[in-house]
Order: sequence, then C-alpha cells, then structure tokens
Amino acid sequence: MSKNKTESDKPIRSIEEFRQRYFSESYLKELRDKEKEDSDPAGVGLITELLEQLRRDLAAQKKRRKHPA
Amino acid sequence: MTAEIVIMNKEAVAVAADSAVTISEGYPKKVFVSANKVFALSKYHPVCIMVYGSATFMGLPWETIIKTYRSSLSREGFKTLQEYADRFLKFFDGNEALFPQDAQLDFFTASVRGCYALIRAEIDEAAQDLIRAQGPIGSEQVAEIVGKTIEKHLGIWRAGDDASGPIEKTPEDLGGHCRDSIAAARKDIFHKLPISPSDSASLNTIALSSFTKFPKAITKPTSGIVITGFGQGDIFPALRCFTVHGIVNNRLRYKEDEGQKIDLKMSAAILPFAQSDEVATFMEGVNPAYQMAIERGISRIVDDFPSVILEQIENLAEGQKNALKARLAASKKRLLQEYQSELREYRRKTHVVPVIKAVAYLPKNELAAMAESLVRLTSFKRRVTMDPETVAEPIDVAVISKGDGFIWMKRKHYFQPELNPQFFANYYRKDKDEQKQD
Repeated sequence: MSKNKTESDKPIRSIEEFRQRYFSESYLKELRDKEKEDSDPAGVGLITELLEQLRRDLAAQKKRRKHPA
Repeated sequence: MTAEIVIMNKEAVAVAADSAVTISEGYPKKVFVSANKVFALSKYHPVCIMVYGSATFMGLPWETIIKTYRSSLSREGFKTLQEYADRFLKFFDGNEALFPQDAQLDFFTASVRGCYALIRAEIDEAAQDLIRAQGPIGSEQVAEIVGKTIEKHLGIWRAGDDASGPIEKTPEDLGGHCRDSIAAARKDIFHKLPISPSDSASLNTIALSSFTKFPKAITKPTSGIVITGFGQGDIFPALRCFTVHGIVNNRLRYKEDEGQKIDLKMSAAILPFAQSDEVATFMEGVNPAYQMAIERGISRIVDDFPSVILEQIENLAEGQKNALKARLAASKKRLLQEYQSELREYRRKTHVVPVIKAVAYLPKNELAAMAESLVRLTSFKRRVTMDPETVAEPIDVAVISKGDGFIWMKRKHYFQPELNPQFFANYYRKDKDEQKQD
C-alpha cells in the first residue's frame, strides 16, 4: 500500500518554507518589507547610490578638463 | 515620553511636567516640545489633572477630552478628591459623542490583533530556532510550538493585574460584534497554523484579557492619569492615579494605581511619574538601575562562593560537599534579604527622610521651585547625554492649595498672551452666561 504525501506531511526544511506554508501573503509581504528596512534602516543604499553617481560625474568632468574637445 | 512630579505637603500640592512629545511612527523619531500635560480639572475648584504616556486616547488628544469634561463640569464641585476622580472616569462610560461605537470596535480589533501578532512573531521565531538547531521539522512539531507559545501567553495574561471596575469574566460575555472581530483576527493572523480546540479557547481568553488585564510582561499602549488636589471637604491634599487603555462596550478599561493621601501622620510626599530614574537617583542617592545591578551581582557572588570555597578543600567527599552546598544555599535567601533591607534602610534614613522632612514645611513657592527642579534634572540629563531628548523644557508648573485654588507658576502658551486678550476674557464667560440664564 502506498499513499501520496500531502503538503502537511512533508518536512519543513527552512524558515521560508515554514512561512510560505502557514502565513498569509500579506504577512509575508510585511516580513519582506521589514527585512528590507532592517538591512537598510537609514536608506544607506540610496545614499551610496547617490554618492556613486556623484563620483562618476566628477570623474567625467575631470576627464573632459584633461582632454578638451 | 515625559517626566512629571507631584510634591505634596499639608498646605499644598505642586505639580510640574515637561513639554516633550515623541512621535514614533516611522523612522526616525521626532520630538516636539509643545505638549500640554498639566490641566486644571475644574475652572473653579482646586483640582489638577496630569497626563503621560500616550498623548491621545482613542484617537482624541487628551487636551480635548479634559477640556470637554471641564466644560461639562462647569461650577460643580465634589466633597472629596476621590469623587472628582470617580466622576472623571465615569465621563468616558457610554459617551458615544466622543467615543463612537465604530471607534470602540476599531480599538478592540487593534488590541486583539496586537496580542495575536505578538504570538505569531514568537511562533515564527521558535520555528526558526528549531529548524536551525535540528534541521527539518514536521507538522506535529509545528503544532507543539503553536500550543506552547499560546499557553505561555495565556499564562502571562492570567498573571496580569485585573482592570478596575466591572469587567467581563468570559469571552461569551462580549457582544457578538466583538466575537466576530476576534474570529476575523484569528483567521487573518494565524492563517493556516494548526490551532487545536484548546488553543482556540486560549486565544479567546487572551482576546478578552487584552482589555480586562494589565500584565507586567506585555506593554500595552496606555496613558497615565494623575488627579490631585482638594475636594470641598478635604483638609489635606490627596492623589489618585490610573493607567487607562481604551473603551470597549461603552466602558472605560483602566487600572487604578497606588495613590497617596496627606494626613496628620503622613506630612509630605514626592511622587514622580513616567521617566522617574533621575528623581529616584536624587531622592535615594543611587540610580535604580545601578542598585539593581549591585543586587544582582551580590546574588551571583553568594550563589557561586560556596562552590569556590568547597572546591579548595581537599579530602572532602563529594557527598559532604553537596550536603554543605545545600546548607549554605538555604541561608542564601535570608542573607540576601537582610542585605537588601539594610541598604533600603540606609537609603531611607540618609537620603529620603531628610528631604521629606524639609518638604513637609516648604512654603508654596518653594514647593513649586522644587517640582520644577526635579523635572529639569531629567530634562538636563537627557540633553547632555546621547539619549534622545524625550524629556524637554519648557516646564509647566502649578500649585494647588485649599485657599488659593489652582495657580499657574509657569505656563507656556503657543500664542502671545498680549495679542490675544479675548482668550483670557472668554475663559469664564460661558459659565457666567449660563449662570445669568439660570
């Protein structure tokens, strides 16, 4: 005799799997947002991106000064 | 956040409060220094009310609630301070003009969802820990985690202090709309988690407890209310204080905290509210957190010391060592209690009593100056350390006495008084007009 395993019989291997199985989509989104916020509490990602852009602009300006058209 | 103080002697009460209000929605926190926390509870009688904790109640600013009540009270006075407080609390019951049914149900739903969300977060954490520790887990283990976490929370709520006044005893005592709200919250928050019938009953009890209990281990969004002054028949001042949570089924959910009464034997009292660590340090000569650290450290030393000594004694059999350890452990509790009691007595005699003795004789202006200084102490400490300035000047100060009534010693205005004479002219006008009509 063999029986197909239902979803609830399958072992849960990770916390993501646990959450996916038991929690609602809205809570999963809440957790994703929180994780995102915790990893970048002060919007450092955005600041780094802006600084990087500024660095590129300055480098381009410098290059233009060295090699006038 | 707030620092407030009440200083009482046989002649008068001085109250002082800072003006900081912390907005903690979102990130980062924002502090404004314009909050009013001290109010005259009556325009005509010597009674004061102070608020701390949440600046709003059921979505309404405390100032609006207090001034609406004061206006409804008009010239009416009561024989005792006890009655002033009782009457104020009654103002909330069945007051659907200020607290409509919809708002009450929203509050109920938010409270229940808050409790359930806390449980869900702990279930999530426990599952994460178990998967990390032992690898894959099965549905029986999930059911076990769910059952244990709900049981733990039920224990916390059961151990909490009962709310004051008449309260519902079982979830069945709640109205149908509350029960529907509980069912919806459970479905949404626990979603597909395995909830047994016994877990379900526990969750219903937790939902009920969320507004009939005040547990120490769970912080609920509450406001503190302090009512102090003199009833018409009171010779000495008194104080009553409450923790208020919200309104459900047209009834205020609150807990009465320990009050104070001045009489012939109790001639003075100093009572800090909200952030009280700096006042406690001034009054007792030691910071309360430091005191606790000392007591914890001593307890650890007393715990460990017998083993350290016994390990040094050679030729002592293991059985003898254990017997000695057990005898020493039995004395530990008594020794620690004696030590704590000696420290308490030292603090009382050396620091508290000399100040209280002086307060008993302080004239009204000195009482006010002392109240202001004690609030300023906390505000100053917050300003010169890296802590957020959750206690900040200006400091409002008032003195309430039997003969002179409620007197502002220092009072901030958000407007210039000289540009707004109509404000002061109108202060008593409504009551005078009503009197003329009578």
